[in-house]
Amino acid sequence: MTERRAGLAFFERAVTLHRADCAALDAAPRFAADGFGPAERMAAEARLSAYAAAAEPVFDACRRLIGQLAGLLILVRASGRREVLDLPDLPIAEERWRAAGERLAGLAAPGGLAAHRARLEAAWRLIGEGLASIRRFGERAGGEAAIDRAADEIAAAYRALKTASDAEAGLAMVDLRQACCACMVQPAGARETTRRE
Amino acid sequence: MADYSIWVLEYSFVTNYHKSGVLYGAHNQGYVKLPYCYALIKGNGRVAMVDVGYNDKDYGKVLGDRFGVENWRSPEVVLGGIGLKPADVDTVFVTHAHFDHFGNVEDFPNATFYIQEREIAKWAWAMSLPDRMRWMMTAVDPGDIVRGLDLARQRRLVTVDGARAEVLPGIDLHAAFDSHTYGSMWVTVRNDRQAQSSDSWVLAGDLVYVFDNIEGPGGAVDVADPIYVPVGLAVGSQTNLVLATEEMMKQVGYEARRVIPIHEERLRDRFPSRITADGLRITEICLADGEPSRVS
Repeated sequence: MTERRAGLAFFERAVTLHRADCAALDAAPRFAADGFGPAERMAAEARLSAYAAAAEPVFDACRRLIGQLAGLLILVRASGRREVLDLPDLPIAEERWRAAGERLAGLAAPGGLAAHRARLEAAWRLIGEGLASIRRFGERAGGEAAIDRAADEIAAAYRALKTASDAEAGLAMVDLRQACCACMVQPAGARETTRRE
Repeated sequence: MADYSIWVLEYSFVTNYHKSGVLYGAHNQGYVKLPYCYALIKGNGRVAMVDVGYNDKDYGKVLGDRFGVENWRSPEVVLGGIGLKPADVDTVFVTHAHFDHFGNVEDFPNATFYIQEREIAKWAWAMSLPDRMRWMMTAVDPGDIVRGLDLARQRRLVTVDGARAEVLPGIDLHAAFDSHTYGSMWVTVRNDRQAQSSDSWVLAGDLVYVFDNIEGPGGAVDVADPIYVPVGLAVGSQTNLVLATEEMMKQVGYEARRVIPIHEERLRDRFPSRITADGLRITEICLADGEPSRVS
């Protein structure tokens, strides 16, 4: 999963904390190994591999929860389908969120990786707040403000999660491997400069 | 008399795409070039797009490095090729929610977006499924759904349930449920505004990638005539893709050239086209009365 290029640069970025809406985080951090000697580099890569593998289920759960909840809120907002919040989808989301929290609690983040873990935790926490707002909408008739608040919280969770994404490390916001248009790893030597008439 | 001009605008391309992705069953038949395009419809004082492409800031590097997608250009540059700006676009028809069709809504600040309600509902459902079923949410970016929610809050997202006639004068939306995606949609332009039009164009989204999806090699099933061969990827079924193709063909009186596949490189062989200074193609499908050509 994690490429061998993972390493020091990621550690350096990971120790800098930003607010979830900070423009400095628009570009997601890359896992990359620079500036190490060979032995240090291998150790750093091993730590990163282990961390990325353990973080991936939490990252993926957050990614899917954000998409699922945003989709349900679109149906409420644009389609007037308030009944979707009474379907089993919401309890399923709550269960996935709870399970992700348990994984997160057990996620060891050595050294500078603590900051990356903090980004994951911020996304997870914001999703939880979004779920709570959606529940409040269901409990009080006409609670439009709760839906707006939930939308803000899910959008903030997305921004936070994006700062923790790195496709090379298996933490990608969108799975392109089987997608319709971009969906194959290029064969060796297949890529050439294209000349157009 | 023609009300609308239609152009297909290339915004990026992948040089070597496996043929089996665009044509069902074409295994081990090599690679084809796959242009990424959106369509623009202009007329009656309106500017409408069919899909909006993707935002290179989010996906460009991984698409370039891992999938060989090249030469992305922004809507500002691409629409500039026909003398328009993204801010001129007032309507967008989103054929489906894959990242390369729904992935750049922010670049169109004045547009109202139309998408099938089922497309949103079923992707939300797919994201709730167990991890072992995650294939069913492939190529959908949760970020696009979040941005769609923002559009909904601004009252700029309209969800459509099935077919809708006259969404703009002479323009109809049609659904192809459980086909390429759960709530795929195509756009029919009746350019003479007649209910039984003799001048219809179908903008097929990803329900048809290439000409061979409509005029495929019949030899594969031992018939001499061309047959419909569906695209390679369907989260629904290839059967539903074939049924949608038949419906599209009915709408254009079985004149295959009037069903426009936006991933087809050979559009330039059928319609007037030019290559821009950026190396991207503009194809002119038709011109409204009085509209000057942008390719000659």
